[in-house]
Amino acid sequence: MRSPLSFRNRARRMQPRTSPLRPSLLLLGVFIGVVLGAIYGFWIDPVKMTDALPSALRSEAKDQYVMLVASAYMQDRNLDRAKQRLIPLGDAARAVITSAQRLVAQGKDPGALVTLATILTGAAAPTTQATAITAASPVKPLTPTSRVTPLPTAALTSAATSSLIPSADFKLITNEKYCNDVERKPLIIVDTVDENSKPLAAVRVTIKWADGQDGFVTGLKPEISNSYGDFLMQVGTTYSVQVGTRTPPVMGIGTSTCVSSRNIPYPGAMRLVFKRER
Amino acid sequence: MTRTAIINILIGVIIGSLLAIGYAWSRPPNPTDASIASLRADYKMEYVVMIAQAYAVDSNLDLARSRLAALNVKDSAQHVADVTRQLIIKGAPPTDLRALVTLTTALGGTPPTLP
Repeated sequence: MRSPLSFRNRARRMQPRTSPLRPSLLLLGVFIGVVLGAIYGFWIDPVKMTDALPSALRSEAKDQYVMLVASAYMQDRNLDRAKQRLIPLGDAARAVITSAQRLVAQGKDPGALVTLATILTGAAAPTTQATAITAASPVKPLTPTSRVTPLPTAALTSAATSSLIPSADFKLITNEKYCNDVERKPLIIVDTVDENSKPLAAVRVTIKWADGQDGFVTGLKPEISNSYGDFLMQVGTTYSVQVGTRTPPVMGIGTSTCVSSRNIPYPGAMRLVFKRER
Repeated sequence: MTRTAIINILIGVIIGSLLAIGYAWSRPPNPTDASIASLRADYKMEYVVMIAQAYAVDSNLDLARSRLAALNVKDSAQHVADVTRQLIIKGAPPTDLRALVTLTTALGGTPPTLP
């Protein structure tokens, strides 16, 4: 006679064998694993760049690097060395101006960048010409087909309203209506040129109106001109435009009235050209 | 929860983790997101020289310290001293070496003897 236990064992053996793997639980585990693995692989121990060139630095680190180049230049006054250090960033002048612009936009003092930007843009030493070739290109005339895109305007602190070229003074040589039938933007367009009418970058321009103030630095739209900067006006508001701090502001700037090819009026831009005087 | 269920989940977690970490580590790093600490060795050395040069102008030790901190070195003074030693061997300009020695001393380190 067989015991009840052996019957149970036999019955168990006769059941179809089930796999120990359960897809639903496996999938749940995979999901949890992917989340945990992603957290580890992307945040806790991500792939880090090594042997990076300065051009690969993130913008704030790049600003630190450029600021250090400028500070070091203040110590040795070795322009070739400063240029050498800026080579990995491409256009040296542009790199310095861009960093200066970012610092100004953050309300920080661009410090030594001012001096280096001035020299690199060809405003001073003749030995800078090799680097400042782009800055020395003639001012591109603005035509109705020119691309006019507003710059991201930088908020200027009251402490940082001096020109990036502090020793320079400017004379307004052109104040004219500018119509662009394609863009139709009521811009204040500012061009700054040096004594030889060559483009002058890194000049700070302050725009004021009844209840506000803003500003920009020229030269950040090299595709238009190294001397170019602009500001988008509000229709009906009157502005003053000051280049640097010593030049008296040009008052009463407002939108002009332009007429399209289909005789439809629209608010147009104003173009101001300032020439540096010694 | 049975033992089998736990084992199933664990196997899944291991597979999922390996897949995700493999994916994360196989992706190239962002080419414009490098930090100062990830600069190539020669640029890092030049960075330290520039910090020393800047310190020679502004004498701002806190600023120099914060700039050195970006390099993620354990002992800033020792690091500047090491860079000075390497640049002595390379025959760097005396003005750079003097600036580095000054910074090392200001940071409380022991600078190498200049040639």
